[in-house]
Amino acid sequence: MAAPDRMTETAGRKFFIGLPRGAGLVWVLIGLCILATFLSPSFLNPVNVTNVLRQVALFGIVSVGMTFVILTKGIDLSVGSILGVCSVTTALLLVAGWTMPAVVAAVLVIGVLMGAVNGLGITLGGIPPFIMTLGMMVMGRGLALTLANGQPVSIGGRAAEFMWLGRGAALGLPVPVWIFAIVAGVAIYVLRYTTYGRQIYAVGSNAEAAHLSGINVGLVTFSVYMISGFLASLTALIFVSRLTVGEPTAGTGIELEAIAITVIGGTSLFGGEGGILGTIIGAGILAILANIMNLLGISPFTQQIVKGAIIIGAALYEMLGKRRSRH
Amino acid sequence: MSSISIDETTRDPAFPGVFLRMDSIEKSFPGVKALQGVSFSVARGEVHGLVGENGAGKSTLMKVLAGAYHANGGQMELNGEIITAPTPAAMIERGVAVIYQEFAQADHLSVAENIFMNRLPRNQFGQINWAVAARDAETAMSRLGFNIDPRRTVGSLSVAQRQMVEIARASSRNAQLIVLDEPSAVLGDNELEKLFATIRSLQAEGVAFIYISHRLKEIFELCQRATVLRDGRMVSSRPIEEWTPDTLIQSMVGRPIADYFPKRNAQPGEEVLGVSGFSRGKALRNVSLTLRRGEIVGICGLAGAGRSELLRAIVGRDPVDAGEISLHGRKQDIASPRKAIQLGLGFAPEDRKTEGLFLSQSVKFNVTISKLGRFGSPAKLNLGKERGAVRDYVRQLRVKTPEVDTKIGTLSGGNQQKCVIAKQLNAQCDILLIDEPTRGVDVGARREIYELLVDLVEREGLAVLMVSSELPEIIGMCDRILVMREGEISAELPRGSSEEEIMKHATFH
Amino acid sequence: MKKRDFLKSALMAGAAVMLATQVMAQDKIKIGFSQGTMNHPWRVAMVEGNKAYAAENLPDVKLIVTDGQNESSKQVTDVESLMAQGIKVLMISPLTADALTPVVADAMAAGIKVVSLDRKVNTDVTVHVGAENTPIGVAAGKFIAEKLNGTGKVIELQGTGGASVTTDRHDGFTAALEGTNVEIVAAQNCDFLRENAVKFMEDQLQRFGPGQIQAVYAHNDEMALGAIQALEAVGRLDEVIVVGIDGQNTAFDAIKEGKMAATFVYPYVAPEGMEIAYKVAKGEAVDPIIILPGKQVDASNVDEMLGKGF
Repeated sequence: MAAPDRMTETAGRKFFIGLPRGAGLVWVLIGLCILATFLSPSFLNPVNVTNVLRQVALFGIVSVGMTFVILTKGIDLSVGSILGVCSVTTALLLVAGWTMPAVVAAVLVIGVLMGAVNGLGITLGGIPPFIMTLGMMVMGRGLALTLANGQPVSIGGRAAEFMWLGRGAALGLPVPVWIFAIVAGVAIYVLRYTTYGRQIYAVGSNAEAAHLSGINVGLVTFSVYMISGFLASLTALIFVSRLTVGEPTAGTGIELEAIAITVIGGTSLFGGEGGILGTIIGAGILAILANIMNLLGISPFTQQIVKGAIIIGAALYEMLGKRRSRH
Repeated sequence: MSSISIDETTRDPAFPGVFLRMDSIEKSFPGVKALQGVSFSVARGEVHGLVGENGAGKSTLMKVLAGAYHANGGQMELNGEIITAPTPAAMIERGVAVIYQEFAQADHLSVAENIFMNRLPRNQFGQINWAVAARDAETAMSRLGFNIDPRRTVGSLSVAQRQMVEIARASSRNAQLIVLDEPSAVLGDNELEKLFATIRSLQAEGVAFIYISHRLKEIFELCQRATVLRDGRMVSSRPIEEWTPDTLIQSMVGRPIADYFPKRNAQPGEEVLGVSGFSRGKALRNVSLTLRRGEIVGICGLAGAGRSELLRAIVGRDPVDAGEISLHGRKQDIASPRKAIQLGLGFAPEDRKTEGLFLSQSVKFNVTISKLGRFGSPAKLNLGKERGAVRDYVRQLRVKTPEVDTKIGTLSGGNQQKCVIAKQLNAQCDILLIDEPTRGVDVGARREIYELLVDLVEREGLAVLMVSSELPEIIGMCDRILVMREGEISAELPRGSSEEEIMKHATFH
Repeated sequence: MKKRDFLKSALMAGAAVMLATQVMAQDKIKIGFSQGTMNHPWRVAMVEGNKAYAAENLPDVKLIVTDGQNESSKQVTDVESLMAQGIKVLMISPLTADALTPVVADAMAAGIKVVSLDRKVNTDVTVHVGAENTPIGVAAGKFIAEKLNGTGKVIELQGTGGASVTTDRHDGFTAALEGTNVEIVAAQNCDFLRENAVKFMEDQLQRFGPGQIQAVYAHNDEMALGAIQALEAVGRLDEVIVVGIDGQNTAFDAIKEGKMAATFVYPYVAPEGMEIAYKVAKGEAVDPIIILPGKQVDASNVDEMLGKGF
């Protein structure tokens, strides 16, 4: 055969399934850590490490949901607004005297419902995900501001046991980190070892072929938006606990952060490629980067420029990889 | 390895001279030698067939000719001039035009604009003169024996018409050599005749053609000479009279083809599939058929006759307004592909790449996706078991792939098709509906697929319903032949029927 | 591989430089300054003023500044990061009181002295420095009531919701209006930003026709200037008096030109913030609450203030 056969691509090597670019990303992460250690003595300070892990967790939970959505070739721009609505609702319910389990349950349900609205619009209404979630983003923010009357809703000293969620620790690690670990672990398992996980990859890779393969494409699509909404509401609970306020502006811009993390982690915006391991590393990379720049006192405006450059760089890297393998 | 000498080309007074000469062309890519010492020539007014299996080097050779690739060795001569710096623009200027399978057309622009892209006639102020453009377009098209309203947008045309526009474009640029890459892959028979007429009329004006096709019938009908490439080398280049279909295939494949289609010992059993009264508007009109275990039944007809529509209706992908299906004697309502799979219907769709495969996923993913239940519960898949099963299929069907984790998009057409069939086997189908079983599959792999299908019906007891545009395939493989015409089954013919008889029932009386 | 070698030497060089500077900085006093947002010249003045003071006068202080970018969750993260770097004193101007309270309490509990600037939190700190906002609100209310002869309609442009500043400026103002016939007919949180104020005013000027509004009370000069912009656009500036707070140079100019009625100088806590933080770091005794004086500026005394603001 005259065709080049050394160029075969492996769709997932044994250990790094979900990292289509192989181990490259992990080296970037390790490299960043080493660089950080050299650049600032505070980096390896246990308090700082805990802070970084916490940041990874806070953004990581929402990013896991975003990964599910992007794997199906969709996008969810509304996670920030869902977070806002759920933040305000959490505070309002706590102030109204609801017990913590009831508040948690109610807020998670709200997140799932808002995600379901997204899902319905996209599957039944045939609205492109970008538009549907954009609409939900705007609507959601308005809803949050209305519920809160434009002001942050303080929970004061109420519900002391609720504080544990965002500010507590177990075995030396902040609670949010544990929550993220559980969320990520479940997500990895689902995508790798369940039929549902396969279906997600199939729908994102080729929706028509998925349909012909007996997959209920509409149901799968609908479900990932519910997952995204759920994880946004979970993050809202943690946010409120951390700040003791439900802010209607909470989560502004977090959707872009989540998308950046997911894409840097190797999940393709064209669907069907990528995974949670990459997202975890992407969250790590962005968190360490922000941390280094903070420790070095680099202005936040410069930080933004650097972050944007990283995102473009990551995308370029992926495009070049694709082009190389085509010849 | 024979090479052409000047005497042979100038022997015939009808060919007054060589237009293109490619001499010992070499082209390498990292790790791969795509072309080695390829030489052949094309005379003016000649239609020269270029054949070879997929991967033989035809596309690479044409890209070198078009100036898109720079050869690493050898030289090209056009009209006696040695080309030292081939670029696409330089080659177009010297009269070379290549028409690829994917047309480079601007869908939203008109026919005239596409024909004269970048060369629209302008008045002295530099403004485009639309009237002149339309008139010139009409002239260009009528020269070729067809006409389309030059103001229509190209996007509204049929594929065949778009191809004509491409040729008009080439001709209006005074192309002396036009390369057609698999032009008939998207045409029905009527359209093919029109294409041939166009080619012949240009040929009479001295334009040369290189005609690349898998359909040997066309090569024999149209070409004066044919060159065979195999594994990047030129095997043989001779006048068409010196070829027969068998020797041509033999050169392409490198081994004697004793029997192209496998010997068949058909022993049909009980009825497994019964379709009655399928109707949907004009696409399907009261179609009924039966399929028995151990049978291979073929469905053929012109493009648009309803063949693929019928298969898609059977597997529940498209709805029907009326009609019933029974499987193993029991009436079933197949509302979705999911139900079809559950009931044991396997479906290999017409367009493998866009409908049948997940190109960015692994072989393993593709083979198992429609029935993962065999490898554990939905919430706990046994990856080891899955891998083992897919390895078995790969071995059984002789799929050439480095690992089961290899991305399926990198496999050749034939191997991809085998994976599609493996997917149906994994889903435990006992009735296989397959649309164009060997489209995009090279000659060597075709034989393997035919053997596979025969093996499945004779030894595994499957039943196969096959749609194909290739009559030799239908005739060689099927126990019964259903001919469709305008949404109906116009005839049921037995094995061994002739192409003429089939075409008779496929066309209007 | 060439790339790897280059990277190695770059890392080595960087490390050497960093270690050197760290060794030099070893004996400096680390003070962290967490600013809530830098989207306003007043806040920029606060940061720059304190930084300049430290650079010129406090060679033994290493000042680390962070910007919360108008998000309380980011500011909380900033404080956590500062704490991880081992600061002795935390200077903080919190975006909102509630959101930053828990982390400030943590800092205090960890033995870090906290100096809050301008805005307060709802927990004890070592020192709070700032001007009192309630008296300013009262003064503004009295000024407008007088100018309107006790009767009229006012639009209130409020600052960031949930900030102590906003609450106090509002409460003082409404308290001063009690017993008069001056009423607030519209109020909105414009986040201390000019463009928000412009947008809001444009809509309100449609809602309330000519002659229906007599005054605008803005919680800061930026918003006041935005109101002036909107009023000028519809030619209604002469029937409305505009009052702001802060003491920006641009506000002084506007008063001089007769476009603005008055503003109240609101000190931007620099260099006082740095001075007090330094004293606290050195262990000196400092009053827990330090009030910086303000000043009313109107047409009568604007000349002496021109150019003296920020």
